Amino acid sequence: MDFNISNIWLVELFGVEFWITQTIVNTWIIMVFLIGFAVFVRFKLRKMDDVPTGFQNVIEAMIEAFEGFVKSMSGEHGKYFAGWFFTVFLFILVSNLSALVGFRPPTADWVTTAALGFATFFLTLYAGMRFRGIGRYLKSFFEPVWVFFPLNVMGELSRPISLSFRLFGNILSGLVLIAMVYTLLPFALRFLLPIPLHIFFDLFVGALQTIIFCALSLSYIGAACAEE
Amino acid sequence: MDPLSFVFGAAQLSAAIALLNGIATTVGQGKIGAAAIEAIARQPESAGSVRSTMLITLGVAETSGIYGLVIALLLLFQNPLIALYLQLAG
Amino acid sequence: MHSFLPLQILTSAPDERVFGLDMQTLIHIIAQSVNILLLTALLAYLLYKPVQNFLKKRSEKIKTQIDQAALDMATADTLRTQYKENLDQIEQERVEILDAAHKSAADKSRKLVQAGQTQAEGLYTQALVDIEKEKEKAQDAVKTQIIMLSSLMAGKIVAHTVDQETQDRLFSEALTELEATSWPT
Repeated sequence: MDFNISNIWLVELFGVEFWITQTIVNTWIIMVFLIGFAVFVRFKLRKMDDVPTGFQNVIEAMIEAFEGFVKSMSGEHGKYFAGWFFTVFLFILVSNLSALVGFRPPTADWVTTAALGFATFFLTLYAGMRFRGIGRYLKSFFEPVWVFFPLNVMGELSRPISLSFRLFGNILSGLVLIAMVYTLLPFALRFLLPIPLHIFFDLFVGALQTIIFCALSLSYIGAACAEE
Repeated sequence: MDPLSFVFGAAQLSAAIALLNGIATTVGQGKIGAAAIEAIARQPESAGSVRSTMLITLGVAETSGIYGLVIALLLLFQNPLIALYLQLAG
Repeated sequence: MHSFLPLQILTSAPDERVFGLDMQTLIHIIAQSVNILLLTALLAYLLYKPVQNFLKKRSEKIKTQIDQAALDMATADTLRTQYKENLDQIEQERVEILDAAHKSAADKSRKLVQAGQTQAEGLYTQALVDIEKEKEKAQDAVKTQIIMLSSLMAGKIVAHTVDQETQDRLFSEALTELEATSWPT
């Protein structure tokens, strides 16, 4: 029943203990994998044809579908953030699916999802200020009546918290349930019987939660920079 | 009664109460599914769009149930207060 | 220090846990943010931007090609209507020319036929008139022969029987009788 985050290495920085945990190491591994994939794609598509075939077609279809998704969720101004959300989408997807190959997914730690959620929060502020003007965006917190300011601020702050806890809770609960089932089953049955569980908790919930995270973040950004 | 077993028992009971979140979650998700089925029945050519919207909305509505599940898991398996109590009480 | 519980909770070293809220968590959040920023910068630069640029360039190229094709199609349409008009005109002229040619040929042939007919009729009447003239000439010749013969005969007879006066008187009476009777025509 081992689903704790194991601490791997202790680093002492300015008198503060800094544990390099399994999460951070797994994040580095996923980063290396994704950057290797990007370099591979770039290498293979050094010369891009006008009429795409095979591999180039797949990559182009992915990116075009993602741009359509971004545009439908966040409106016209959202295309500026499509690069960021493409990376976040790939990162969360690969990290959720890495549970299939034996890693403890970095998104099963609240640290990662909180980082992503607060990144979305700051991006919302930036998008509102850039595409709507600083004064108008800050004034919108006082709408409709000026007493609503605390409520608006709390509503705005609750968004990254709920985003992060949604992703964290889904992945962690999948991990815990699969670990419990593995503990209860005898050794011989551990190879084939939990496959449906893996399909549901790893593949389906993993993919669904990445789509939900990106769609909700984009709709918050679209709401922040929408002209009334 | 032994204080430690009392604490353990209380932890497990509160975990069970935390999971009562699931009632509201299930009811809400059922209503979302019913609305989606009705929308598809009314206009069959919007089935793809309705289906993807429904999946996203189901994910959002499940949030509250997931909060309860996470709290229950933390209470049962990884209770930091019990670990601290054990450390302090020797 | 051991008696102040919250401080102990806040500064205890994390010991294989799932969730906690202390200094370590904050440090880890910052560490993960740095990781994700690095990943985003690299991935956007390597993968997203070039493909996006290429797609935009290609869609622009296709758009110019489509515009060009629309322009060409428009000019082709105007040219086509123009040529069609020209062809119709030429067709019309051809029909007219053929009609005129036919008509003039028909006229000419009719005139020739008519001329031939009138000429033939003229020849025919001329021939009839000639025949009449010949008949009359023949009749005159016969008449003079008969007159000569009869006068010879009469003269001979009269010369036998009668003398000159009564010969002249008989001769003029015979002439008036002959003039009174109708000649066989």
